[in-house]
Amino acid sequence: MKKKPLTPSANTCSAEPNPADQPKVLALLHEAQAKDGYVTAAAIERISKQTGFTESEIAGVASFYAMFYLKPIGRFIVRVCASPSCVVNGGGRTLEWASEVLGIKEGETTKDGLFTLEAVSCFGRCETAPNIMVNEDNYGKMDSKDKIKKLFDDLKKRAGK
Amino acid sequence: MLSTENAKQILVKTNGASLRKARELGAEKTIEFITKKGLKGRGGAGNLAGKKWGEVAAQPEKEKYFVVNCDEGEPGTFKDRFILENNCETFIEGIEIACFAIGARKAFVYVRGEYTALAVELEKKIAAAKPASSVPIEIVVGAGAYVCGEQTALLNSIEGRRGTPRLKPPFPATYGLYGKPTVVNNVETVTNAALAFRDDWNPSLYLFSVSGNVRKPGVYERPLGVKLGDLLADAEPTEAPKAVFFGAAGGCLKYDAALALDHATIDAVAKKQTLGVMLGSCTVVVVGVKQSVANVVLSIARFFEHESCGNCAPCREITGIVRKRVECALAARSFGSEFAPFLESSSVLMRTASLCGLGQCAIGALASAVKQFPSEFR
Repeated sequence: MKKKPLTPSANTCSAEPNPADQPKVLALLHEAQAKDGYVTAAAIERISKQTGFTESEIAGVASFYAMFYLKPIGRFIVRVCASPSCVVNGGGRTLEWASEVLGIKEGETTKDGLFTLEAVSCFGRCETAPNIMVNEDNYGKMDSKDKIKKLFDDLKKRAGK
Repeated sequence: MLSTENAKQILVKTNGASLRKARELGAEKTIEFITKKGLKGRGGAGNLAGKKWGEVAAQPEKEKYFVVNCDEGEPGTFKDRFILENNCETFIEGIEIACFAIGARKAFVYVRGEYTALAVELEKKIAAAKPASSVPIEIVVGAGAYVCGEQTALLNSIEGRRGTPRLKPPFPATYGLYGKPTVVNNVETVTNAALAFRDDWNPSLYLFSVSGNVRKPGVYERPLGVKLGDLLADAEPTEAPKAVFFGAAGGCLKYDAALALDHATIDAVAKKQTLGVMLGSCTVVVVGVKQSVANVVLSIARFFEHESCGNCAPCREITGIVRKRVECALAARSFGSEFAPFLESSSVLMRTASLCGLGQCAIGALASAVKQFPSEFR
């Protein structure tokens, strides 16, 4: 027989729902960002009501994590790994090349709203260093400007531009 | 996907047999069994897992939690990803055994945001394994914060707060997630908890994440204490190795083929040479003779500045100052004679005045490189 998880009221004296069983702030922020492209003020207000945290607390959480954005960003978030394994495998110039090809600096978004460029810490794909992550997909062995240009051209095509 | 040819034990599927054995033994005896088998934490601290479980099991609180740390953020580390990609089933069984042993009401798996795709797969596998499971397992996906690998920061993060480390004590064993007694274990530890029930289980086999200037980067399952030269003979360096970095926080050592890779040996070397070096979660980033250690140091300095949570003033300020100095010195091709002493004194300050391992290790790790490769920092 499938056992049901204990209901909060079975564990605690109060009628308050057990926070361990409630939707998590991180999950709600991920969901909001997936829907709107970034964490909007309306989403912060909604999550605050849903979780009981104040709006400033939710905004504080959203601004704490590198992967949440409080303003609109590009359709493709280009994350260039800047960690040791990538650096010693020719990755020392990956960011520079990506920046040249896209014509933007780190932290900026292209005018067409397609690409946002970031330098980030290791994302655990060191076997294919140097790496570039675009949204959730990893592209390894990005050790030349040509390869990077081809990657961005392919993404543009995918976006129909 | 990572190659599985260099690992064996960690890939064994226990198919529910270990959980059955644990249930036959009962909760208390399971903890005794895991302690006796000598399963140590694989996240870096290396304490006996059974002891940690026992401490939480003994708490009078009815509500307890089991949390798995899969916030694998140490640069150059990917062994937990390897387990999730290749042996999710045994990992889930490990969670169930731990929950049964400590009497947890619920388990949480905190997966780093960069592993979202893996988290989705894990969720499916948990759902598939559900009929046998008595404890709900919830996955919480992080959002890019290295400091959340610190266990109390991780708990804050699950609770929906900023992922900053807590003041300790109280420790999670008495006051953890939502203030309840909590065990936090690493993915490799949990998986080995299931494997430990097999007669042929070897407690000294660890997963080494090897990358950098090698032809065959990947996860190598080797006995703790393996000689660096032997490990690299399998990974095949692409150029003569000059240094190895044990992640970012682990610092670096000059390449020495005879160096035994176990925590006690590395600690002894660190003590003898007063270097901020530790083996941690067995990460080995190989740096070849053609590479610049200073460039690697710059990448680590940037890393710590970016990842400092801002809670402790010394860490927040000094990581930024160090990054700027390294950047300027590299541009000017001159570090100056005061750079090394500056790093040393900063390292003492940070070690003394930071709440968590990130702050305590950050500058020491950089100083270890400067001290051993002075010619690159002139």
